Amino acid sequence: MTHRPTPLDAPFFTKGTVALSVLAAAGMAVMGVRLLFGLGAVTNLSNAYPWGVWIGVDVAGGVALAAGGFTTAALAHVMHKERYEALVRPALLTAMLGYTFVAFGVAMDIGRWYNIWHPLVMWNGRSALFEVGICVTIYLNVLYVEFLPVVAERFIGRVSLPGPLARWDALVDRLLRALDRGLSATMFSFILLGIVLSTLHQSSLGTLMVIAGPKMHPLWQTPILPLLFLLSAVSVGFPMVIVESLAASRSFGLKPEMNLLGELGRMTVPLLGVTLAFRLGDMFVRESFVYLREPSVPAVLFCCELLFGLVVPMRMLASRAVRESPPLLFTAAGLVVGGVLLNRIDNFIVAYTPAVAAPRYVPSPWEVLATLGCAATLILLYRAAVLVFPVVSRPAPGQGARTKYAVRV
Amino acid sequence: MAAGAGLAGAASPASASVSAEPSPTRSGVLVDTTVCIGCRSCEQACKAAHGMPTQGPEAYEDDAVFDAPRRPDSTALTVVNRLEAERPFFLKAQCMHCDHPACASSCIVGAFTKEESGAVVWDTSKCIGCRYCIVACPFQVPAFEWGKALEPRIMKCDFCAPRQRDGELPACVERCPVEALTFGPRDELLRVAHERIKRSPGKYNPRVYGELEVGGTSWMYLSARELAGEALPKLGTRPAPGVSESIQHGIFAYFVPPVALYSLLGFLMWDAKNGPREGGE
Ligand code: SF4
Ligand code: SF4
Ligand code: SF4
Repeated sequence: MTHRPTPLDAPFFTKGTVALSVLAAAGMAVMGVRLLFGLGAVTNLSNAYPWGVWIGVDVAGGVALAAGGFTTAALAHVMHKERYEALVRPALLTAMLGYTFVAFGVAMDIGRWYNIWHPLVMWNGRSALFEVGICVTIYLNVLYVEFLPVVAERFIGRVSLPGPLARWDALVDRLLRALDRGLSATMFSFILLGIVLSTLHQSSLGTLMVIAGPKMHPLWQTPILPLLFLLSAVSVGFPMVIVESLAASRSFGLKPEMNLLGELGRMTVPLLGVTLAFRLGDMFVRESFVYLREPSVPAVLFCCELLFGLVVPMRMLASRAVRESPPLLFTAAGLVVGGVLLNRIDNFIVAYTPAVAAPRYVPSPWEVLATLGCAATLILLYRAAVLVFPVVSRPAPGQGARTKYAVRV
Repeated sequence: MAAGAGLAGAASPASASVSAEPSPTRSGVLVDTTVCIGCRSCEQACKAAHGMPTQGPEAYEDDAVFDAPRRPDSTALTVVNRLEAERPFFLKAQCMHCDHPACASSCIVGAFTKEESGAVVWDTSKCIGCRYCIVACPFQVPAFEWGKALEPRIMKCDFCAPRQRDGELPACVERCPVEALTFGPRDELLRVAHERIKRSPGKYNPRVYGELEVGGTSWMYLSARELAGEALPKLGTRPAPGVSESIQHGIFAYFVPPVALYSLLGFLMWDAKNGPREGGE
């Protein structure tokens, strides 16, 4: 069956999106207060706990959950499994929006947001954060480039600028076509660059907390943190695509691509297995299991990560019945996503204890509201994008050669 | 890839998996907690030297401040705490001016420098306010101005670097009425410290805190009892940035690994496209 991405035909506003809009507006209002009165006005951060949910969830969680972009690209383009093509664009869109929000989250979290460009010219090669910053910046731009053909495809043959600008229509059209041709020829290099950059910063994100040394709980502090971060990012890529795809199908009333999604689920099993093996291996080599003996919040959360984030979904995805049932597949993939999110929260927030004892950090309601607001905005933008751009594939009724630039009226 | 190549260039060559060695003539301060009387004159002198608002003398005579432990913050770069023990004692806290400062290694824009004098100083013109330095510092020293919407600063003791450049003593050292603080070349201070321990073995814990902690610090403490794990963090002897920097250099060794990965992926891509097709794919 030939699939062709088309802009979806659905209303933007539904009960759900109205609720999300309210949440988004509230979140942005919190950001406004933060910009006017400083971080102290809305966050519970302190000199003892300098990083909170904005770094743990918006940034670290966001980067991990946007991993679907590079894993799908690797599968469809590097391994050249063309039938997964239909999943590439939605994953790319998520990655592009996800990283845009990571950048936004960083800008809001740093005290001097207007200096956010400093790392581009003031380099410190010894800093893990510098490496993350540079790679994420370049990667974000690579993602925009990768998305350009989708934009070009939407407008080629349909450029109609308003009013007096209309006489430029033909020129803009020609430019778009030239851009598209140029990109088609060089796209492979951007795709490869995107994968390399992802590998680099997904792992360096793990290096970040290594320097905190004994301030990190030994259940998480290990020199192989970068490897663990990379493995978990790779293993959460496909589950994230599954979750999104099933959610979008449901929301737009499309038939889910169960064949492809089930396959992704199957391929996730060994990835989860490798992650689990390294996490258990690390625990035994460093003998950090002693910290699991007495029940404590970190111990419980650590076990949740392993059990519900790795073992249970691995077992579920190994079963054919699960992979063929949308709700079960959604549950299994959702567990992986939740597990990785929990892992990032644990690494950046739960595992951190200041060198000198201080009352524990608990995020303020405003911090949480801002985080939820960002997530809501992201979902809204995703919906808007699939309504405007050809991102989601639907089985095309009449078969025949895929015409790339059909002139639509 | 230009930025990437520069990245490898920015990192120093071959063996530089740890930060540059500190100057052999760097200075330090030896804090003798058995001498300190908790008068907090050093706190007052520090504020005055840094143009920060100070309180009247009565405030410094009031013992009530000792009831709750305090940390240096954006309004006080050094604070003196009273530690309850069999024989309570006082402990002045400030930046330790590490020989291999984690703050300098971690800072995304390289805003910290370990100077010849031993002082670790911060450059306001670079800082972006990410607070990674606070995450990295093993002694929980850098403080942030949480209430400021514009130009919030990272505040920490600067070892009175400007005064030192003018040949003056750090303000706290100059003010201390009982010479609990000794300023001098770090080697010399260590010799003095071990001599004091040898002369009165019953009086001192045999270890100098800061001699070996995280690879050595410019500020060091003599005390009647072990400070590590009680009053001050218990730390290993390896420089705090060591592991993190080795990982960084491993991943980026002259940018070979990323370029190799790029080439490998390129080959796989070419191979998958032109090689024999698997059925149905
Ligand atoms: S004590 Fe902290 S702030 Fe001071 S030099 Fe060491 S790492 Fe930097
Ligand atoms: S807060 Fe400023 S000084 Fe500290 S690491 Fe970030 S940029 Fe560097
Ligand atoms: S001035 Fe000297 S004696 Fe007084 S508190 Fe400071 S270090 Fe102790």
